[in-house]
Amino acid sequence: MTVSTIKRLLLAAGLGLTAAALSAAPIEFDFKDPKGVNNIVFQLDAPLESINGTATGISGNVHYDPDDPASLKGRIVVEAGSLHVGNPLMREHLHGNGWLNVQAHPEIQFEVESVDAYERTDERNVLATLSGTMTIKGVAKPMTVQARLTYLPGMLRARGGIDADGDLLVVRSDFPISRTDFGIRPGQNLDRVADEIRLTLSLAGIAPRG
Amino acid sequence: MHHSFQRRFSRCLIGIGLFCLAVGLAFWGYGGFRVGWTVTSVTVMEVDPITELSFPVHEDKFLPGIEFPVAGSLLALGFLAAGFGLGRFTSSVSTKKSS
Repeated sequence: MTVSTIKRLLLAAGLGLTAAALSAAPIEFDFKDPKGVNNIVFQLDAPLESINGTATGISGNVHYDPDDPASLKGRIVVEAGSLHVGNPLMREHLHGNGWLNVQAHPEIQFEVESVDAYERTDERNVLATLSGTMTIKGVAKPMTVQARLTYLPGMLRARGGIDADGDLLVVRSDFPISRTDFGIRPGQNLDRVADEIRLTLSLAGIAPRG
Repeated sequence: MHHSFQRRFSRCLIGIGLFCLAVGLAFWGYGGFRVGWTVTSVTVMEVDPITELSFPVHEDKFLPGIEFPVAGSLLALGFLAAGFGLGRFTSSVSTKKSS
């Protein structure tokens, strides 16, 4: 075996190890979606009709390793002023001091601190139990939620919205919160608006390459 | 002459009352008789093809809600009560005068 052959073998091994290390590194996904698809639907029961609204001002970053879902960490931020309901008076109340006080608390956020458990349902999908801290109206509470994570490698360009190659991470989750827990008119008007707020998250994070 | 004016005025009040009720119901009907509050925008959910995520698209649209028939009925009730009240008062006064 000549010296040049050994050098070539070492180089190939080095490249292989680097590639393996790179593929194992968590990917950073940006949740400020250029297509503006990311949204959270919120629903509260009320006597006349349920109050349904959406929030679209979503940003944040999540580090996700498709080979190691347990390492997921990150933060999703929602612009409180982006919460929308069809009735303008109701929207004014929702943004006002009595409810979310969006002037004083412009952000709602969920910080994922750990993955308590996960189950890989197929090659791309993972059902995960995420623990973290939810902050609404300045009140931070520990929360555990179920989420479905779908990793779509190389699908960023095909999806559009950004002229780049890269990956997508789709996050879906559906869970209730209590408005009393977050100081949103705690214990008040329960006969008119339910305490439970049902949240449905439909989020896509992008990770452009290069 | 005075009584005939009162009678016409009473009929006028009843007419306004019925008109308020009709307008309230017509506006409500325009919105599809929605049993909910008035909205100035509607949300249509669409699907992003690659991620298969549903996302909201807001459209400015005025859809009258339950406030319109309620307000129309309350106004109608007020005008009808005033109209019928005045009518009864006028007829009782004219009956007394004739007797």
